[in-house]
Amino acid sequence: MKILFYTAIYGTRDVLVREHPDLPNCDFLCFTNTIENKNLTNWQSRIPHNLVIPNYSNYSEENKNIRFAKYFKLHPYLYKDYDYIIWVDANAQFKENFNLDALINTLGENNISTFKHPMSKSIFDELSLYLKYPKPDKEDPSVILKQILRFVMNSYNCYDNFIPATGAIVTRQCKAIIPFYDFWWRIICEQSHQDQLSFTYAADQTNTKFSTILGDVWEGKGMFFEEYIYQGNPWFTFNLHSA
Amino acid sequence: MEKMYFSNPVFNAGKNLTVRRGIKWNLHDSQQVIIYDVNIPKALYFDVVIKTEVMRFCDLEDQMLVDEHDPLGRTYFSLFAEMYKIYPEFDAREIVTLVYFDLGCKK
Repeated sequence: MKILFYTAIYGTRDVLVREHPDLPNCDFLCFTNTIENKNLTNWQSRIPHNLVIPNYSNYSEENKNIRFAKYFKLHPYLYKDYDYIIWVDANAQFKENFNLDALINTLGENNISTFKHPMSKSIFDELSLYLKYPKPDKEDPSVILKQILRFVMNSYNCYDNFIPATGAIVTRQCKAIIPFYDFWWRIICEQSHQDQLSFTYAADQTNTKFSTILGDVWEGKGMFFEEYIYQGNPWFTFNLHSA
Repeated sequence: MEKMYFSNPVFNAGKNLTVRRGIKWNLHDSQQVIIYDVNIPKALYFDVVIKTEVMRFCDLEDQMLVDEHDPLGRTYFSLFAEMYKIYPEFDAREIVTLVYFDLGCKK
């Protein structure tokens, strides 16, 4: 059984400073255009440049970089040599006693698993968070509004969905995942780059079932709700993005 | 210097393009390569400057392929057929590298 952990850093949002643990039968790969990330840690790096993506000319430099990173994130099925492909955001730190088997077992009978968003219960929650708290990769809120409108027009229930926290996604390599990831990527190209908005919609439209990784992506005192203590999870600590 | 092999080494007099699977050929712009016929161990062109772009194969459009060196690869579908011939497991959603080079003044 071969497993790939992969991440991507385009632009200056993160720097790969965290080493990965030694895990048998696992490779660790970082796609980046930031030369400083090469050889910085024990991750292998690939530095594809001059990437061309659909609607390329419509994006700002920062939004291009976000989509370049998402290109690699949303194409796990291309890493055909691996049985399991695990995306981790570049700001994730592996915890001590990281239990790989337990992480893969979160898949259950499904081919994809990811965390649940610690706060948002619907796409509208996500929108209100987006409007309330500035983010470095902020895009025009009208893009998100248009996206929600498209979902509604396709009879998608926007009020009660699973909103994921896609800082880590476990994928089992099989042909069944391709329509989901391809559909999801096309939304990212054409609409909002906030992939948590379209994850469940893409799963719904492609009849793809997924599992939830139990636990919070946040740990300790809440980033947004001071009084709430997030429980964290057994695998990763997600640090704040550096930019 | 990297050696670039062609199984069908027919070229345009000026601008040329070859589409390669994966990102191996995503070298730095202005990098030079030596062009070989895969069947002949003798270089065809030396010091060829290349420029590259990386994209999903399925995002290619016919007008991007007008300089494709191989006449059989100048439309999306004919190029896909060629890729499929070489790599039977080739998936149109794979990433490819477009390698541009100019043989205008090369011997």
